[in-house]
Amino acid sequence: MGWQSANSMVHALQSIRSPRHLRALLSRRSTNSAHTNTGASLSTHIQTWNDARGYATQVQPAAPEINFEKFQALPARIIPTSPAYFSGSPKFIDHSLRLEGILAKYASLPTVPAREAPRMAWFRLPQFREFVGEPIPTKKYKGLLRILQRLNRIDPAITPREVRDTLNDFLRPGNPYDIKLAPRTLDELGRARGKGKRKASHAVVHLVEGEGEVLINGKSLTEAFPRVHDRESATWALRCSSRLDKYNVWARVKGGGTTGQAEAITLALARALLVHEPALKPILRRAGVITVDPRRVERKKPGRKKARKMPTWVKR
Amino acid sequence: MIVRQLCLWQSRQLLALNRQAYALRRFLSTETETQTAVETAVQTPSEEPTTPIPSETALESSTAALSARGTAREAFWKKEERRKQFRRLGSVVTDAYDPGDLIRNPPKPSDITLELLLASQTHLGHSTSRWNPQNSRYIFGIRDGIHIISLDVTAAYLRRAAKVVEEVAARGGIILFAGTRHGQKRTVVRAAELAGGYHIFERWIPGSLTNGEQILGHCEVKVVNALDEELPEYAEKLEDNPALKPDLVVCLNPIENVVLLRECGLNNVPTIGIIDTDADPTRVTYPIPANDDSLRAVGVIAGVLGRAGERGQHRRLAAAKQGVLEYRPTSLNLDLWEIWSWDYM
Amino acid sequence: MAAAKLSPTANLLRRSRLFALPQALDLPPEPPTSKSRADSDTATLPHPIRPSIVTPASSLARGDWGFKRPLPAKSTSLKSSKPVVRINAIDTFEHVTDFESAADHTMTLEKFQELHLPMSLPAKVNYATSIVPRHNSPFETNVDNTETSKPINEVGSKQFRHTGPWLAGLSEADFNAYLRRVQKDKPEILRKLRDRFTAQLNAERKKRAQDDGQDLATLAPIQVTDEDFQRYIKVLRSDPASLGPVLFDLLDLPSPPAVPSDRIGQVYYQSPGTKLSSSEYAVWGPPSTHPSAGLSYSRSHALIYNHPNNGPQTYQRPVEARILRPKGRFKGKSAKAIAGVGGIAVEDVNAMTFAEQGAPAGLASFDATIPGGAKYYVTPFRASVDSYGRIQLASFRATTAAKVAYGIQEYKKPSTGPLTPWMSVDEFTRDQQRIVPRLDRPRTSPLPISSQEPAQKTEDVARNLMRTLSSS
Repeated sequence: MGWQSANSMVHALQSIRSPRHLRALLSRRSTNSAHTNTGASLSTHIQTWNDARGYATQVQPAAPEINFEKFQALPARIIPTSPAYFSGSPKFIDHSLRLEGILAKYASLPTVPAREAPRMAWFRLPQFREFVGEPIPTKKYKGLLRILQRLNRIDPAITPREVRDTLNDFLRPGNPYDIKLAPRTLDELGRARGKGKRKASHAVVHLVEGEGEVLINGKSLTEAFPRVHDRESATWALRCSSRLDKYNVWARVKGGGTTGQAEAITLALARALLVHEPALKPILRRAGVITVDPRRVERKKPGRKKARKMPTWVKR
Repeated sequence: MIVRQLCLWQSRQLLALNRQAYALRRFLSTETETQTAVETAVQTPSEEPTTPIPSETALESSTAALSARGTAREAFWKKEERRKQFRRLGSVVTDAYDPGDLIRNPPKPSDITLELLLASQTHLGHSTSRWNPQNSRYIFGIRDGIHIISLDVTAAYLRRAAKVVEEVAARGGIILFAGTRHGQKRTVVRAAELAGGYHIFERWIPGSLTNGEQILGHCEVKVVNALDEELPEYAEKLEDNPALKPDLVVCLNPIENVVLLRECGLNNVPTIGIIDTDADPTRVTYPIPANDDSLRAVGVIAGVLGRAGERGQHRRLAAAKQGVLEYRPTSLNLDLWEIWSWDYM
Repeated sequence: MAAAKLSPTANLLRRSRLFALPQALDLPPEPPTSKSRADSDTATLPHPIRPSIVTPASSLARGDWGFKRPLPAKSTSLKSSKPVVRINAIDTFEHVTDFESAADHTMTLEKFQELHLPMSLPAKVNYATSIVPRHNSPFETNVDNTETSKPINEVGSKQFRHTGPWLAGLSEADFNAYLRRVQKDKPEILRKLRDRFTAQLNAERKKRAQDDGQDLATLAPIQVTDEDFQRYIKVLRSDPASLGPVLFDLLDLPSPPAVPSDRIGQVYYQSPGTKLSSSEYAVWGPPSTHPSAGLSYSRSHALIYNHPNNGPQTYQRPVEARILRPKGRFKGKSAKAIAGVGGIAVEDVNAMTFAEQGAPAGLASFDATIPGGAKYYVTPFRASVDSYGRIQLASFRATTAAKVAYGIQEYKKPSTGPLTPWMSVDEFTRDQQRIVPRLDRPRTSPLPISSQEPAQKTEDVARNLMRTLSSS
């Protein structure tokens, strides 16, 4: 490769320094008839490879016709597949340039608000990295996603086929937004079951219609939670919807401390209540009882006192 | 009395804050006054839970949105139709400057005029306190605290660079256009597209030439014949081929790409660069003294070089159609070439 | 022609737009005072000193303003729909193009042109005598002259510019430099003086001959000998009263300000009457620009608005003036109110020192309750540019007749009487009202003070009405 390029450069330089050679070559080519001439000049070139100092300017005798089939089958150059070869991530750059081109082409089409656009499951970053086979930084992939989302916002009724086909290339296999969870139902005894987690606790709540009795791990509410705050929060889903006296609660809760247990029950109870009365969802959402708190205790690290706390710095 | 006032003010401020305290609100009071307008399912427990019906207002808003979208769509079609009807009407303005032409239809090397260079601000150098004295031969004078680059020098050097690009393209060389400054992306991609070359508009990864195996090793290459048709049967022979190196690098912002230029120097790759009055002209093989900050100036220069490369590629393909190869083919199967050529000696 | 000798590059560059940009003017002079000044560096200058630059929309979208590098959209096209910039430096050491928005002056110009006012020559507007100085356009042929224009030689013609400097405004260094320049030109000046002397003698003799009834055709021109000329110079030197006018004429100097009273009765170099087009220029110095300053090119304000219903109107549409400073004591001195009309600060001349009946709200004292700030309508009637390049605008408070024709009403403060149940700030301060009123937007819907006794209120209204009817 190195000497190939050097050769081409030498040719280029030579023609610039002394254009007379080139002119001679060109004039000769134009005067002679195409067939015989091409053979001649071609052979001259082939010959010059053996001659280190030759520059394709000597006139050669006419040669027989060229076998073009063979000519086409012979390798001439090794070149990159993509024009973005030297960027190190050619496929990604090709993709983003293609998307930008499409966006520029259809920029004037009317769009819909983002929430009304069809939901698309784009590649996640690791999947996309696998798809293109290149290490793509997060920031660049986010930029690509932004273009995809903008294209997706084109009014679905008039989206051109080109856009739709292009967008489909970036979807991860299977459509997770098509999966509809089966609605939970009451069992044959009229019980609703809900699970909830908070901190290290997890709770299972069975909810039946009744008179407002609460049993937690076989104990009454006051026995289970001596603190008023915990009692309030455990039954908050019922209280905020004024259903305290309409359901009986039977809960099992494990792990963690009292706060965690109480709030795990909150979540489980709210989920169970939703099985009974799905229309309560906005109220419960606003009351903050079906919002999952995913925070857990951060692990302790070596070299630290706790998760983050550093030991006291001592000079020497 | 004072305490009451204080409370009044503070509660007012709290309301004014309009903060949604989701988790904490339920702890504010123990009494609940929430009125629910929802039918409870107490009486019919065995029934399937009913799906929530969207309330009246939600329905109204969604229909309003639908109708708004419909009108937007109609307006779009109307606009399209109007454009179709009126496109042919009116007079045609010729010789008007359209900035988009720099991308769509860049100037050819034969179009280089001093007027074009002047209009595209190639003559504006840097502040006089920023100059590199090696550029003194390109500088015309000083005006308003900046150096003015001589237009005729720019034109001459640009024509020379265009010739270099054309001849390298005609001999099947790999031409790399590098412009990593913000806003140069479209220019660079367009020039590479015209010249049948390669582009880089983001950061040059240091070591792409000196350590190409590591950085460009995974990027795909192909073997083509003289007519640029791919030959898939040679794919397995490429396994142990080293990473490719460009035969010519056109650098639109040499100041930021010192690493690229140095690697080119180490690998004997000739370079073309736009040299502003603060750049070092010895870093590139073929300097083009011009303003490298203006996107328009860079667009003109890259466009001219792209057009030159386009001409070179045309020449090469035209020659290949006649069976002429003006460059040494790859060493992959040189023995075959020799056999082929010996047939016709 | 010099351009023909230059290279093509040089010729092109000379004709390029960038090179055609004029150099920046000097900053307006600071007032000669020893007081410390508390001015802002970023305040709008009284007149522009650099050209304002625009770019076509297609180039603007690319940030291309024809300079070294594209200007950032964040401070140009994203900030304004019609961005105008002025360039302080094309390139700096920090690799930036130093620019700023020039909208301050372009907007002022636009607003000024909407006032439909012609420019006048500066004159002292004395409101106390209620005599408004006449409009005299600087474009009249007898005043729109420089020292080279033709009508300058006609009797009674004025000029707005002299070649010589205004001696009263020179610093000592400048004056010394000017003296050196005059000394260098001494032979030329003496030659002029001699010509002048000859012409004077000839004119005198011609007059004498005319009086004596002699034949004018036979008169030979007088040849001035060197001795005569030297004697003439000696006479001039010994008599400052006659040397003054000659000097001012020879050097083409604008006449100095009036002689201070303590010099009257003493001997001093008298100056001829001013040739400048306005007597204000004699006091404050010759104008730094053309007296119109390019703000308006119309000669008169013989311009009448034809109302579609009411027919031609005496007054132009009154414009809103923002009260920048209410009248009252300011820095220990009682001062008139200052209003802003179209970006130009104007003294409100009508604001009397005593309390007026029916004055616009917010003029007498600062009032934070007026939505959008205190404003009132004025009719500007005279605009001129003073010696320092500042716009001098004179305006009257718009009369009722002027406002009625255009359907304009002054802002009325809502009163808190029983008949107008608007919510007032008083209620809020007395802590009866729970909602804090918004002061920054006009109130569209009247809010009742209290809702506890709505039935009683109508009764109250009726009773009030009856009482007023019976009393009148």
